[in-house]
Amino acid sequence: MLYRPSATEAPFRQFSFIIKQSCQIGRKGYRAPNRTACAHSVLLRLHRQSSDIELIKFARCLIGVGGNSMNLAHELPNESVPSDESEVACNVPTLDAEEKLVHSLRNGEDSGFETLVRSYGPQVMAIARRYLQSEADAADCFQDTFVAVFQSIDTYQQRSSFRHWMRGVTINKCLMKLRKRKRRREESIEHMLPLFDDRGKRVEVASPRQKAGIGELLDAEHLRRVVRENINRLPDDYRLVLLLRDIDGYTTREAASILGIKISAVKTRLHRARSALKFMLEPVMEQIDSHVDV
Amino acid sequence: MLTCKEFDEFMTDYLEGGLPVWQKYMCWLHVKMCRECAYFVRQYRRVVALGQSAFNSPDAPLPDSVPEELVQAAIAHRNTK
Repeated sequence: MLYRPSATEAPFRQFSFIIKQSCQIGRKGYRAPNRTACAHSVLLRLHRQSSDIELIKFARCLIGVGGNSMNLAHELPNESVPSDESEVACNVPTLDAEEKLVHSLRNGEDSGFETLVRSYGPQVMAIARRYLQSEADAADCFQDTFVAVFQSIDTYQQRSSFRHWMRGVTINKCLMKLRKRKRRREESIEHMLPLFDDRGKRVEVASPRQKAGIGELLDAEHLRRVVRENINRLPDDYRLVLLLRDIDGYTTREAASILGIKISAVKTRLHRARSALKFMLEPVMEQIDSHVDV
Repeated sequence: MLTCKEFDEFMTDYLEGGLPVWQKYMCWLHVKMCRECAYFVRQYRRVVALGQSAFNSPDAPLPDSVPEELVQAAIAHRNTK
């Protein structure tokens, strides 16, 4: 299943470098699902930068094997990786800077608050947009989050990184906003779930036809947008579990605690959300596969 | 051997390594024997990876940049509290 390119080929050296770089970012600050996400973002970049069928095949194999992309990254030759990890762009402050920031917030310094808003603003806004799906609500949540952080900074006990704590506060604010908000009209996912016959055998479910052309689907940003749109189609009960577990990297227990539901309910909703998303994305994946298999 | 329906109930735990050895083995065996479930699992994994890359993309431009007015409003908002 795993496609092994020759490491001496120039384009692969370039991409093996990117994959390794992504993994290094992953080891530093991300949880396992986000590490995989890092590697996958590399593959999507690959689609955008290359028209080489071999490279697309390579990417497809990695996407197809999910987390195994990390294993492949470890097998790549070391000489293709620069020792200077500082080349990796990062939007949020380093750990030292984080400590200083927390210190200045605890002292009530105005400059600390401004640094907080400017440094963590993009992260907070990204989470708010993802959970709330409305620019106006995201803007409200943005303001509420920073005020809440400023007011409750003394409760931050440095058991986790400040960035992780900030994410928790932001998600809580989003969930509060969602609870207050009138429930949007939601599409049922029942017809998207797996079907079984009387003997418990899986029955194939026909997915809708894909409207986008293959050219569009091979564009990484377009593909990401298609996936995001389909995730947003899920009813909130399922969407929130999927976001917490698969995107934000919380454990099942943590997600249950955040949402105030049972662990078994998180597992059921997560499986249903992923199955429905699979139903929606099946035509997209089939179209990409048929292009790559040519 | 498990039926597809029984396997489906265990699937999340199976993929995340949360099953006792015997159940894990039964699931593994089912995937090896059942072409439909093997395909389902493969696509299911891809969907999880696609979902992750759709939101967590360090190489994407910054669509989540914050308008300056909003930054200023947040700073002003804090001063009024």
